[in-house]
Amino acid sequence: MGKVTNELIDHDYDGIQEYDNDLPGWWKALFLITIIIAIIYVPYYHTYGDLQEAEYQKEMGTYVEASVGRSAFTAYSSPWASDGEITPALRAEMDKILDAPFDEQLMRAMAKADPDQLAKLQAAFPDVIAAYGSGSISSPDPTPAQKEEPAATASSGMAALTDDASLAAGKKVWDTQCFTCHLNDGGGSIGPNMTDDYWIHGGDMESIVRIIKVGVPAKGMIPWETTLTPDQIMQVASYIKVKIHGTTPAVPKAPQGDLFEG
Amino acid sequence: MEMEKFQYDNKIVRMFFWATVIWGVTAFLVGLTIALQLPAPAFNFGTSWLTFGRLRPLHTNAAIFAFVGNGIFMGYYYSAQRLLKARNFSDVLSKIHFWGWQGIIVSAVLTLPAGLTSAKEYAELEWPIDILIALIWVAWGVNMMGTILKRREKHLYVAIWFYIATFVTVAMLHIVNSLAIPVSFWKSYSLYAGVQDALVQWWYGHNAVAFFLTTPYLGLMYYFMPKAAQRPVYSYRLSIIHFWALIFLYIWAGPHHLLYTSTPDWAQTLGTVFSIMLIAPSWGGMLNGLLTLRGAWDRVRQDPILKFMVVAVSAYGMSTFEGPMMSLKNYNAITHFTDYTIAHVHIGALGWNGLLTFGMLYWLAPRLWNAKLYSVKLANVHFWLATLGIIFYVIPMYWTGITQALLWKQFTPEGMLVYPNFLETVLQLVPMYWTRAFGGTLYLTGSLIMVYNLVKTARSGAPIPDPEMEAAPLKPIVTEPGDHKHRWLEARPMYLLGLALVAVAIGGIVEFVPMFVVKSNVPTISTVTPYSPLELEGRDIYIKEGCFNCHSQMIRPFRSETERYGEYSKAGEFVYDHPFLWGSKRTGPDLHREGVGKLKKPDAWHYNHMENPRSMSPGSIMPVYPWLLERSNDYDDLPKKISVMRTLGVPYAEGYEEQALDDLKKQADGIVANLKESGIETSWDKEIIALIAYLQKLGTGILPQ
Repeated sequence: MGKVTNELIDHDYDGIQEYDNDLPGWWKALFLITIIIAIIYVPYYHTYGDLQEAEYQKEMGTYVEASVGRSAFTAYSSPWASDGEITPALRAEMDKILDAPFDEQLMRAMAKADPDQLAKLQAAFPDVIAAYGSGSISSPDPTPAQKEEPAATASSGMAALTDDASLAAGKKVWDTQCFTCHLNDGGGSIGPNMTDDYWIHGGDMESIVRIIKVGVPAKGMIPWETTLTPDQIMQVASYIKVKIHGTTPAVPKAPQGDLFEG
Repeated sequence: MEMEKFQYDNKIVRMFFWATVIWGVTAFLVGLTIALQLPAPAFNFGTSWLTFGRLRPLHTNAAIFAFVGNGIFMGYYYSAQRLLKARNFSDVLSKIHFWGWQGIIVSAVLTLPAGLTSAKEYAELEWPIDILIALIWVAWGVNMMGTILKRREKHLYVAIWFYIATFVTVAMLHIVNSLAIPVSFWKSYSLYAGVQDALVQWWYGHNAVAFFLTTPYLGLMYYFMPKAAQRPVYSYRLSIIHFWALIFLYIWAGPHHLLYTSTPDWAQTLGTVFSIMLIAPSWGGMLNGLLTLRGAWDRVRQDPILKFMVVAVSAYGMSTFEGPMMSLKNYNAITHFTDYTIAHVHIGALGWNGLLTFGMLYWLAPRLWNAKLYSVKLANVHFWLATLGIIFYVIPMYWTGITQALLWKQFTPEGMLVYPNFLETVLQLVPMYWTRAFGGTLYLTGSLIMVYNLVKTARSGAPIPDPEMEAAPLKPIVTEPGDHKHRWLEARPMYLLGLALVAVAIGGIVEFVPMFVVKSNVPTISTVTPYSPLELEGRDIYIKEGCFNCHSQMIRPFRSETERYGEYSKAGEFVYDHPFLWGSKRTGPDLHREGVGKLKKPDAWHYNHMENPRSMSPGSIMPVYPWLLERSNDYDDLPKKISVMRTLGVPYAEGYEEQALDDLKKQADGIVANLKESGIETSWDKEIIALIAYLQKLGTGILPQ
């Protein structure tokens, strides 16, 4: 410990005096420890630690040993990832096995148009599918109501959801996101009119879902696949197909694209 | 021995006293206004002069340079004369210093709300004012060194060391960071670009905190605290060690503002470790303050001045511990860009600087007007309002910061962002923003009670005449036996000044030289192109409106950010950015990939969104910008802007000045035609057109449109 002698220095500045006390021992120890930490940390981190590029790749699941930086922590996992989460790398792996984008397959399955795919997904990734979509697709058996051949689709294998809950959820997405460009009643302003029979990129469910997912960035349509869940994309596409399409908006925008009847 | 007669100049102290009071209240009032603008955009009043983006720099500048600045000079002019037993070197310089400094503040009040800004945080003022600042700062320095040289006290007291270090370091920081090439009287472009500009700026920004808000106030603490407590300073040795350690280490820590950005790893690491090493030197100051109160703690209960000082020094201790913690990469990953930082700086500003200033004001008033403090009770009320105000300010802001980080980073089990719509995360914060504004109201109310108390005190007395003093002249400086090395140095102010300059120069040199010389620190990207004339003009509007006060342009290498915004930002993307616009706070979403990928929006979306953000994003707290749709730009400065940029190294072809306006029109016509398709009629010269062009350019450097 530093000695507290309370010895005054024989001097004063405008009446202010100073003791010549030793520094508190814990303070000296603290200073010394922080210096030692600094001296050790720099070479250690830059030799064995993950620099930010490597840390990022590990978080993304794309890290390849020795591709960047160096690391002693091979079992490293990002503090932000939780167990069983689908990392972008895992999603890519799924796409490869399914031979098509994972989301697309899932949505088809959800539309009950492709029970085979759903079975395949469940066999390959049982945990993921169980956790996905809050169990909405846990049963590959279509319910009787949805078993009927969907009338709204012409050639596509994907059918619109018609149950009230899905359409209500779709309306919520429409009214909070889509309306800014397409207006609440679908009449269109920045974006095209969604009520008429003319579609720039196709009017079947498959096309609508695809455009919502990947967007048309050049024309300003935002890709929604990272903002909306596959459930929500399915729901809002169904809402467009079932509830918006065919209505009469207040101020309809002129038709764009090709006539699509179905 | 013959005694010399002299007088202290008290008038200059009184002048700075009232300036501190007036600008303090102003800074708090502007702060409260912008605090209200966040939960209630109506407080932007629909006018360009009062939007958040323009008022926030006014608030920070007023708080730092007007309130704390005048506080420094008030305390300095009172204490230095007495510690040196000498009147100020020159009364003329004192007056120039006072009026020059007020002139700088007034010019900030006029130019910042007008959108005249360099976009560098806490250094926003444009180049003519920067030059004035440098001149006035040097006037103070000359006045100080002159007083020191004609002192009648052989050794310099620790407070004076801190004043000297403040003077040399702030001069260095201000000059290096403000280097820019003027385009016109109120417009300039930073000499540095991108990552280098960021490094210089945060070397400055961090050390503005260190050498404007910290070292001068430690000097003041070393005078006013033992005076108010009437106790000797705890440890002279501690003063020496923490002084030198503090000024040497502080300079290095700037890059901790740039963790996980495109700044090279080595610079980030330096920022982290030097911040950790700062804990003990910072606490050394706190200890010497608090331990000075040994034997006087009973008086702390009765004396509001000591209460203010004790809480001030404690706040200093808290924020100097928190700062190093925020410099750890894992902690910074949570706090950076969030309101956590806002809470942190307000512990320092409201707690350390604010409360210490209030303590000094209450201590000085009776002495400057030879009267009793009008009401000790009101001073106590002020103390509690200020302390509660701080609590009601920082707790909601810490809460907000953590909330932001959690919402931004949360993934669903399917690997999707839980809150992909940034606005959802903002709306969660509104109740906390109201609470923060309540805390600010308490703090402001307390300060108004103080104004009343101080005015009453001054009225009840009369300005004391400059006191007649007597002291022996300084004998020639000779080394006395038994003088240890530091004692030797304390008698030689020019050596001390030189040594302080060396101590503070080292960190900057070690960080800058490799950054500017070694090419691999900023790997070039061949697809990154200079801004087109229209984009460049749009960028200047972005700067003028202060968009960077709420929107960052720095996507960090986290999955949660690349999922939300797109590919993380690369150093090579910013090579034409004079100045850099990374920002330090995300009240709105990051905009670095606004022009590409999933974030790209139609021109019409931006047009409508600027007119009223709530038409496109219901609930948005962004101010409205209808004037962008109305104002025309004459683009007279365009050729000059192009040539200045070329001087700075942006590869515009020789003679491009002649062609720039045609190119600008061509690009603008394209956007006008685009808008027309969506039913919007406008003309090529409107400000909105340039801004849209800039926003659509963002992020396209590595991901072509």
